Amino acid sequence: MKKKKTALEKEVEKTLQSFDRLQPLAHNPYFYTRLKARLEEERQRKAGWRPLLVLRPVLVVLLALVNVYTAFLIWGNGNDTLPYRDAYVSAFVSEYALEQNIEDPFAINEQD
Amino acid sequence: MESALISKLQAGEEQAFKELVESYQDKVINTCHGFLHNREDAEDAAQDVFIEVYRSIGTFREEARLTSWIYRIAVSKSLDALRRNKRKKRLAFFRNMLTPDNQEVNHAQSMEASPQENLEQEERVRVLKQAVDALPENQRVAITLHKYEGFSYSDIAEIMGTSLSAVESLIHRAKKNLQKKLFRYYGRNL
Repeated sequence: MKKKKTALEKEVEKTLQSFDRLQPLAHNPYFYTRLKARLEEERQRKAGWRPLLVLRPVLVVLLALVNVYTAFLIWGNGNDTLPYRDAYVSAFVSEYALEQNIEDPFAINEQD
Repeated sequence: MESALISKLQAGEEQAFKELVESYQDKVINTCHGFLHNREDAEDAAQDVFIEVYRSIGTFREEARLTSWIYRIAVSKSLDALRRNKRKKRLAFFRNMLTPDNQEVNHAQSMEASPQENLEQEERVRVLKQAVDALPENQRVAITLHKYEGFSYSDIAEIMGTSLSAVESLIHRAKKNLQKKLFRYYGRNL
């Protein structure tokens, strides 16, 4: 038992001493060249996005205009669309024979 | 000297950036290697460090030393890379079971030692790295900077943005925890 404990302590000690034996990595002479290439790549990628960044305000204005136009169509001349809407609703009602079960639209029509 | 270099870097002088990379490259790569245990990953993380330095040098205020600032970025990028690697490992769990581990294990080989001794030493280094990786993050950072890179306690305090006594305590606890973990490991495997 004591022997095992001593062996354990010895192994732990040796393992902790491995810290002092670690060798630094060898110098890489191509590191700066690779770093430069990556920096250049990132610069070009960013430059590729630049035209889209310039267009961003234009896109925002266009979207706002579309919204205003849609709002005008919905609320701006609502009275003009009323007759069309009534005609559309009555066509829909007659198409699906809704007037027969107007009180309970989900009731089963016994005649069918 | 340092403030002249900082001024040149802030002015965007490419030669100054090259000088900076050449003087810090080995130490930064070795610091990252201390966390990542793999040369390729360490070089990628070191590239991230210098890109961050290049981008942020304009906002650098000379309240801290340039050296500490660079190593602080190195620690943060290494920890980010470690988290990314852990995520990747979780995803590639089954693939990793079928392919051999590509971690570098020849870090502490000696030319004079016998192949048997070298194998034993490689195994010890592997076990030690595993034990260090299992430490809480602050303790891992402190012990890695101290043991792998030989930074003094005051340097570590500056890099970690903490006090000297906190670093002393972190390293003391890290050593205690390492001993416990190694005892447990060898208790099962010896």
